[in-house]
Amino acid sequence: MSSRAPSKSVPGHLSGRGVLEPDVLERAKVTTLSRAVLKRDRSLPVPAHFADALRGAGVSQGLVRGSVYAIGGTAPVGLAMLLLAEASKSGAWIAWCAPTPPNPRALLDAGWSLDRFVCIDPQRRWAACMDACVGEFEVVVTQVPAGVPAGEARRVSAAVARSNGIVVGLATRRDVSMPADVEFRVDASDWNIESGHLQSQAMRVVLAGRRIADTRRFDAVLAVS
Amino acid sequence: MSRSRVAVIMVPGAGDRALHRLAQGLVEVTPMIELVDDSTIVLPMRGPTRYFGNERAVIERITGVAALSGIDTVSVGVASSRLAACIAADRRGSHIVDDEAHIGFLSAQPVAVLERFAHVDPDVVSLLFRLGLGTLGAIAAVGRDVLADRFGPEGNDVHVLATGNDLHEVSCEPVPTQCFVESHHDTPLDNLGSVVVAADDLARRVVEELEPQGLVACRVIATFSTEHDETCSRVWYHPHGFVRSSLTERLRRQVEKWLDDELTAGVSHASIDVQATTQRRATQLGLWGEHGEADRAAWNAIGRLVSLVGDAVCVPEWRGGRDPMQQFALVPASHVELRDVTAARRRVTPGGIHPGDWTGAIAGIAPGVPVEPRRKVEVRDSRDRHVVVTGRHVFSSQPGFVVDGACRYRIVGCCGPWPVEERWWDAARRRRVARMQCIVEVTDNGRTEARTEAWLVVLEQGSWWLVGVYG
Repeated sequence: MSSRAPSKSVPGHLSGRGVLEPDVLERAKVTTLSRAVLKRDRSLPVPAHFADALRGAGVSQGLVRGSVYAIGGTAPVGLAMLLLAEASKSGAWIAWCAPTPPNPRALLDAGWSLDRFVCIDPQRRWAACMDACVGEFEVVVTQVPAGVPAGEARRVSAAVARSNGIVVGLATRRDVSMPADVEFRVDASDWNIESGHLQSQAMRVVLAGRRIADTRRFDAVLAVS
Repeated sequence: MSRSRVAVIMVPGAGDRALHRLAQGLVEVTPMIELVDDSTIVLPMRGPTRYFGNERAVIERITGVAALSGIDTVSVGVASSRLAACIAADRRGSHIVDDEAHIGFLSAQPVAVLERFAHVDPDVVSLLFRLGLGTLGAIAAVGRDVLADRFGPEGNDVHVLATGNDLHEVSCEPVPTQCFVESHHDTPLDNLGSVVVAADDLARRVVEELEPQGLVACRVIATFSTEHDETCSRVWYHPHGFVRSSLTERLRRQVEKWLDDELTAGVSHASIDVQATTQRRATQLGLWGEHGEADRAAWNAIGRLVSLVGDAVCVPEWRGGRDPMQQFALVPASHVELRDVTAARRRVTPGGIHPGDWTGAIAGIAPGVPVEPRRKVEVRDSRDRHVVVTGRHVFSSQPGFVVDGACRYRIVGCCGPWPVEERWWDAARRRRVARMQCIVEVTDNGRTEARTEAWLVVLEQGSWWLVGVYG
């Protein structure tokens, strides 16, 4: 015999109208209401080739709030600059919480809006700094410093899932990495020289992670936008 | 006109601990000492001069306190305004500028001292110089109205400073408060984190109370007391006023070293008494007249981060130049007004404050990862000879390898050299470099196949330096 779970009934005073009657909050003893987040607000935009790859892998085609993304491989900073350019352009606040800050000129070239960009050198207080950043900035880019216990990194990762923010972890092989939902790895880079200058960097990116069923590969190009 | 006398004490590189001990010791010389930054203290001289007899005796007392605090190098300047006293203190040793000589002393000073010692906008100083007003005497000779018409409130301030007056008087006793906030803690706060949180809350209340009046606090007395009446009181001053994060950061510095002292109880009372205010700069609001929720959350987070790690929280500021690694500077977030959206955009826009176009800058992409500090490398050709850049701006031979310590990287492609000769007319600051972008093969440990990386290296004074890595 199959048993059916009882369906959740919609209270009569809410059905069909979508408006709370004045005494509902009082009767239900509701003291706070969390901010409503529409589905379209749940993700931040990414460049087209990233969106295509994510969609092909069966996950949301943007950066989903409450998720941790890991970037590793041979050019993690370059890929992070490219991945977050659209989010920055669309007005998202981005904090870079790592001992080594990026070159702001390179961020500007990639299309970032630097008026909403903050660099934090966490010194020996990485966990406290991440606690202050997560959920307050829309995106936090971080590199777990040497000496931080793996358990601390996992705790921060769990806090991201409860928040409305996105964390992008940069990882080299020496670092402690944060448990991530989606991982981007740069396998190789090619350099394009035109007019006697380096004009762009073509990256071969591997998309993997616990939310990705099949590993996918795609190319991304970092150039002056 | 008789002006109030001021002493400025400069202790460059003394460190927070020594500065705290010096401030504690100076409280016995006079109350109401002002801390301006991490190396400058301002003292009102009227009271101590009467007590110790003359200004020379006060200076001796100050140097004695500094020696007891473990500070060997201290310079003291005494004059009739903060600016003149700062200039006198900057000359090392002890200098007294008499009241009669005060105006003459200031008149001869170059206009650059306004930027260096009085936080005047560098652009205003630059324009004053280009207008032919190269000294404070020349500025004082121009009417205040003329300067105010040309530069707005900043022109008025410049005239006040150039004529030997202070924007805010250094007072030796508290004046009637303009805003007072305090907090009592039934459970005493016994660690730095909780005291800083309480201080941040006080700073927020001060800012919120003054904001509707268009004001910002520029001189405050911050007092922290324990249950056993151990008290730490400091006067903080900034001519442009404190935003929340900058005030919190100063309060953190105040309590940080005090809590390290052997206190017998936790902090039970904290207060901020605003002694002087100044006009708040206009803030550009959003399209619908308000800041967004994301902006407010970010500003609050920055305030908390500043209270955690202080000046390690930075925002970019466009400075310009031909060096792609130096075109932006990272400045402490507590030193800029983040809530002024228009100013924030100008700060990061090439050409907004500093010029945007620089002939000789490297075209194409910029290195994403700075190498700090820059690392000395060697560039060699296929015959293992050093590669240099000749006077005709070409390589002496084709670069073949970059040698970084014990590692040797094969160059598979390179661009350059691009020479730059900057400030050739200035013997002290002139710089002659040649830049090269090179693509090198890097083999990771345990991997057989090589990958490529792109580096920016510069040749300066006969040595090659790795300054940035692309990607």
